[in-house]
Order: sequence, then structure tokens, then C-alpha cells
Amino acid sequence: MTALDTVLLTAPGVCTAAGTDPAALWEALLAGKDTSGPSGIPEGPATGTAFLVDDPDAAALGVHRRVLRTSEKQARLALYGARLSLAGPAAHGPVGGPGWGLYLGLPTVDEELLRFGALDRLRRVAGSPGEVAALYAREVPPFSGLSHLNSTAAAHVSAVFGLSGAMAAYSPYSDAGLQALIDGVLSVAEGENEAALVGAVSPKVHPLLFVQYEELGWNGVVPGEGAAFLLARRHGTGPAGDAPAVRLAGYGRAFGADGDDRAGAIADAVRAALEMAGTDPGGIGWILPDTVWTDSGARAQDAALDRVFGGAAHRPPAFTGERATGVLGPAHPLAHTVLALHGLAGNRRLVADGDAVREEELPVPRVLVLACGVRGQVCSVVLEGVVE
Amino acid sequence: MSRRVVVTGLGAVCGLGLDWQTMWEGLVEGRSAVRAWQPPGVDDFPVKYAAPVDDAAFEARYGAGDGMDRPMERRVRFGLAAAAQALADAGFAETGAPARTGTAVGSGVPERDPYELLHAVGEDGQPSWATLYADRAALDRASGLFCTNDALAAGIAARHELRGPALNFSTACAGAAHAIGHGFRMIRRGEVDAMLVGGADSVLNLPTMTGLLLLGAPSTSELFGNRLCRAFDRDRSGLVAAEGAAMLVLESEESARRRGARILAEVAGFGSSLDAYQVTAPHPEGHGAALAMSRALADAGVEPDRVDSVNAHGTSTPLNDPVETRAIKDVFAAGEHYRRLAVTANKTMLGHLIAAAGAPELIATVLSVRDGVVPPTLNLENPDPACDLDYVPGSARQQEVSVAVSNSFGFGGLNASLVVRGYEQ
Repeated sequence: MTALDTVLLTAPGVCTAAGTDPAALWEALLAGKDTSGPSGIPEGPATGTAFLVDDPDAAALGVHRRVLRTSEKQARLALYGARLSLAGPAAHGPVGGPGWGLYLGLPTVDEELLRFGALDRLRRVAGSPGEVAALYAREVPPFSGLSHLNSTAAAHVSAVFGLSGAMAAYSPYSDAGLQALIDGVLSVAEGENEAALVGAVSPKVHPLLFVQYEELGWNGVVPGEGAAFLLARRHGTGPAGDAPAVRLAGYGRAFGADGDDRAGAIADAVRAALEMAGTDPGGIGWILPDTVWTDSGARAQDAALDRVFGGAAHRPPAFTGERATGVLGPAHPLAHTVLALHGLAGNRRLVADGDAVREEELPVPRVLVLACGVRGQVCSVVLEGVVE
Repeated sequence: MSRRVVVTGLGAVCGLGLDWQTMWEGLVEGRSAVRAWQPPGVDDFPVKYAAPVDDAAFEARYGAGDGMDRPMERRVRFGLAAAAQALADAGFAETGAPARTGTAVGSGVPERDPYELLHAVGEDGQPSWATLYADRAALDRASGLFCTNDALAAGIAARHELRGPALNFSTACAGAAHAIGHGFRMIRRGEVDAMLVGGADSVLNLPTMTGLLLLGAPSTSELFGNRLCRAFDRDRSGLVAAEGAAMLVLESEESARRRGARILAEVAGFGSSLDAYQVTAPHPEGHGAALAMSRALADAGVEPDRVDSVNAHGTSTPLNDPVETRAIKDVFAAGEHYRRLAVTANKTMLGHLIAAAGAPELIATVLSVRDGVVPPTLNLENPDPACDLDYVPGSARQQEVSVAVSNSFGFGGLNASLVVRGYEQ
């Protein structure tokens, strides 16, 4: 038994275009439900559709309206995801305190400082730096120093739920979500926290984001918004009953800048996770790879999975939730973790069959989840079903 | 597996100098990097002082070769230079880095160009995203829209072929301290053998400084000239922003000894916490700060009465300094040990490097332990009754420092503390 064995991942809270219930996400994927809509972006690589979610208001978040002044949409999605996750535990006992930590995967905040309404004035005074400075002082939102700081999401979640345990926040791409998961679980396993809320949010779908993404090689995968949270806690410290739970059986992290180096890093991270979990490729029943949004990254992930699983007698199917959620940035691998939890609890998996999706029995109770940052950061985890 | 973690390499780029030796010399001599500053071309910006990096000297020393001439943010340039310095200082050029070496850095908000959105304004004078998108080739690749928080960690890892984990921490002014703490933990538990850890930041641009100004964070006082950063002084009036980077090579004791590396000190513990209070102010009783320090000491297995020095967060803001004082007094209450602590605020000389701040301050902590000297807190001329510890005012103090704590507390109550002790085999 390792220290990781003492920790459960439970209390999934998910908010995507497919709804706020893990079962709804599962069903949307299975039914092929179209949860996308117009992106609202006029031109560029993300023109067309996107998987958007509503911006939660103060009532939905259960907070005072002043919280909205110091937060951007992604921080509010983090609060909402945290609320969804902690609703169950809060119904059974107190939540928060110095033993409750917080580990978050956060995108960069992409939001203009000067609104379009001020740009004409900026153009008129552009030759005079002093007047530009004065314009900024007048037009920049007063709390932008907080709302544009992505870690403010952690401050809000901490303040609202009274979490004062050990913490960390990572950014900006999908690996950040799994870094949060791994370190959150380790914080409980190593005795630093009694429980750790682990979560991640997507960037908001915004034109600035996709100018940046295109520069990095965006391959046109449809973007989405959302949040996914779980609670890491010790075995036996939660409510009695049949709450679904998984454990982090193994993990691996690596870096590979490009091409074969990146594929090698992904393969290394997967092998490390398998080894720590005490299993081999045949011991994995389902793979939830990252929806890597560059062609080179996607090729590297495919090559790595071929290297590790190519020799397995029964190669586990790979499946991603993007057809119901879009690409969720840091929240993507945690949404996959929520899917894994749901699948492991019911001993089921989803398998893509062309455009259709079918459900079938999960042959072994282990799922591999992958995250690949756009510049070569890699995380992988092996999740195992648990009955508490 | 639990292994000891030692410091084997250092690198720094800051207003005090372009290498860690010059920075340390400046800290010990009580030199200040704070100087008159304005955003480019502006002469009446309310913030009058900052601690910038000397661009001409930086360019002369680091600007050429190794792709440093490519467009990149200032923080990334500084970070790459500090990382190269630290890796060379660790002797990796001679021995090679351990195979399992990773990267962890802290960074803040991407740098912004005040004019970037003018690209959205068409010939008809009407702004639109379509216009911005159509003109995207003209956008500055070194700031604003193309800047992402992972560029430094990934850039270091790619440049130096470090194939271990590459992480970027976003915990505001505690970012570098979190990066260092998590790198320390990864080595201690055996996940890697070495980590390049630290942080880089530059907020000295008009948009970001305006955002900070509107929060009331930086001092706008002109009363004290370059003596403006006055941590723990009655007349402190806000932080003095700085820019730069600092990096450390952390390594397992086993790896360092196998390489025959010079060992500067041991990182012994790390603790973090959240204030769970307000986004705009620290907990008034310093609960979060005290939790971080207590956890770091417990993590190190060090009793509070063994600590000789605290490298304080010491921002020179009205709220932080008395709260941190109170937290120190809580943690070191037994036997009133807080009366025997030498507490120092490096920001009075370095300025506040924001997300990177914890890194040069940990370097100073390491060197305090190595050299037996505590740098001073400058400009502490009028004591505040709420700040009543020994802050080593004015000039450095020679004293044995066996164990020291370094604090970093971020906006919104994101806290981290590190424990350093002298290395004994």
C-alpha cells in the first residue's frame, strides 16, 4: 500500500455546455447531442461554433455582487465548479478550515484592458504618451489588477468556502489541470491537507485568445468553456454510502519540446504512471487522451500511445469528450477525470465508432488520462475504481 | 523515499545587478536598486519610483546569441538569462545535468503593450475584432496578445534539454516561492533528481502599472526619493515595483555529492496556505501567513526556536508589514523567540519583483546561511509601533544563521514559506 492508496477523488463538479451533471455529460456524449452554438467571434480560427456556458451571476454563485467586480468569467466558473463539487460534502458536514487545501489549473486571462469605446480616443492621443497614460487611468476598470490576475480565482474560492490549507495554482494549458490533480492528491497523501479541492477552468472564448492560439499552431478544434472539480480526501473521512470515487494509482510528468522528443516525453510519462500504478498497458481499460490543439502535438500523442500500447493484445479504446464540451484548456483533463469517475463507478466506457458513440463494459477498472501542454509539457495519470 | 535537497546553483538578473554575486554584494552593502522611473515617454505618471533592470547592461551581457534576439517578453528574457546562469553556476556544463531534471517557475500577468488594440481600429475609425485579426501579422510578438505564462518554463526546458516536468505557477506574488517549494518536494519524494526553480516578472509597463495603481498597491509618494521602499517603517506607503528574475538549481544531496558539486545550503521545508479572507486585503491577524510559516517549519522538522532569521515578504505596504509582524510573533511566540530573530526585508533594496519576488529573496536567504550575514532593511528610520521586531535596520549584520525562513505572500492571500539551513553532511 502506498500513500496514494489512502486518498480518494470524489465529489465531481462539472460545468460544460452539456450541463452541470456528470451523468448529463455522459449521456450527451452517448446520444451525440449537439451542445454547441455560435462562437460569437467574427473572424479567425474560432469562427463558427463553440461550446459556451453562461457566465454565472452572483445568485448562482451564492456570493455578494462585489465579487463580480474583482473576477472575470473564468474565475466565476471556478467558483461555480467549486460550489458544484462541494455541495455534496457540505450536505454531510462542515467544509473548509485549515485542513482543506486548493489546487487549481488556470488559463491566462484574455481580456482587453481598454474597451472598444475608448479606442478612438486612444488613437487620437497615441502620439502623446502622457495623454495615453491619462486615458488608461480613466478607462481601465478599477479592479483590473485583480480580475486580470488569473490566481484571483484561487483567492475567491478560498474566501467563499473557507479553504485555508496548502495550495497551488498552475497555468495556462491543459497540463495545468493535471498538475493540480497530481499535487492536490499528493498534498493529502503526504499529510499536508486533510482534503484538497482540485479543479480547473477553461479560458473564456474570446477573440484575443484565438489570435494567440493561432500563433501557436491552433488546428481548428472547436473551443469550449467550462470547469471541472473534484475533492481529494482520505479514505474513511467522507460521508458513508456509495459516493462514487476513484483513486490516483499512478502519475508521470515530463517535457519534450517537439517532434520525436515530445512523443518520447509523452510515452515516458505514461510508462511512469503505469509503473507507479503497478500495471502495464494490458491493465488499462480506457484511455482519455488530451484533445491536443496543434497538429504536431496531436501527432506526438498518437505516436506515444502507439509506442506504449501498440504491443498490447487488446488495445484500450481512446475517447475524448470534446464533441460535447469543446476543448476546455486546463479543465479538459479534469472533465475527463470526471468522465473516468463516472465510467469506473458504473463499470462502463464510451467508445467512438465513427460519428456515433456506444457504451460498453469496462474490462478492467483503470483509466489513463493524458494532458499535453502546447509547448511540450506532459502529465498522465492512471485512475482506478474504488469502493469505499 | 525522502531525500535531502540542496542548493547547487544560483542565477539572478535584477536592478542590483546582472548576476547573483553582484546582487548579493549589493544587498550586503545596503545598496538600493530603486530609482526615479516613469513609463516610456510619460513624465507625470503617479508612480515615480521603481527598480528596473539596466537594459543597456543587460543587452551587452545577454542580448546576443542563444536566440535572445528573438521577440520575447522582458520577463522571459530575464528568466532565460538567470536560468542559464544558474545552470552554469551548478557546474552542469562540466558534469551534465542529471537525467531527471525538471523546471518550475512562477510568473504573473503577461506584459501588455498600451497600443496593441489600435490594430483593431480600421480605416473607418471603427474598432472590430475582425480588423485586429486581419492585422495580426503586425502585432508585437514580444508583448500582450502573444504572451503566455508557460513561455519561460518551456523555454528553459527546451533550451537546456531538461526533460523532467515543466511547471508554471500562478500564485501572484508567491509564484516563485511556490515553484521553489514544489520543486523541492519533487526532489525530496524522488520524482526527479534536480530542478531549475525560480521566477521572472516585469510589471514595468503602462497597462500593468495602471492596474496596480488603481488597486492602490504601489506608492505614489515623492517624499523619500529612492528611499521610498520603507518596509516596517511608520511612513511606508506602498510597494515599489521591480523587474527581473532569479533561479536556483535544487538537487538531491545524493546527486550533488556524486557530481562533486558545491553545496551552498539545504532547502529543508516548504509550507503554503490560503488566507480565506478577502481578495483585496490580507487576513488582519495574519492567520494565513502564520499557517504557511508553521507548515514550512513542521515540514522541515525544525522547532521555531532554532530559527535565526526571517527573510520577510516586507512589501512596505500599510497592510502587509504589521500583519506579517503579527504572524511572525504568533509562530515564534514560545519563549518570545521572535525577539531574537533577525528579520530582513530585501524589497527595500530590490523593490518588489511581484511573481518572481520569492526567488531573489530565497537566494539571499541561502547566502545568509552560507556567509553568516543578514542583509539590512533599508529606510527603516521611523519605527511603527505595530512593527516591533528586530528588522536589522540600516546595515547588514554579521551573525551565524543556521536556519532561516523566507516568506512570500500573494494578492488574495496565497502564501508560501520556505526553510533553509546550513548543509552538514
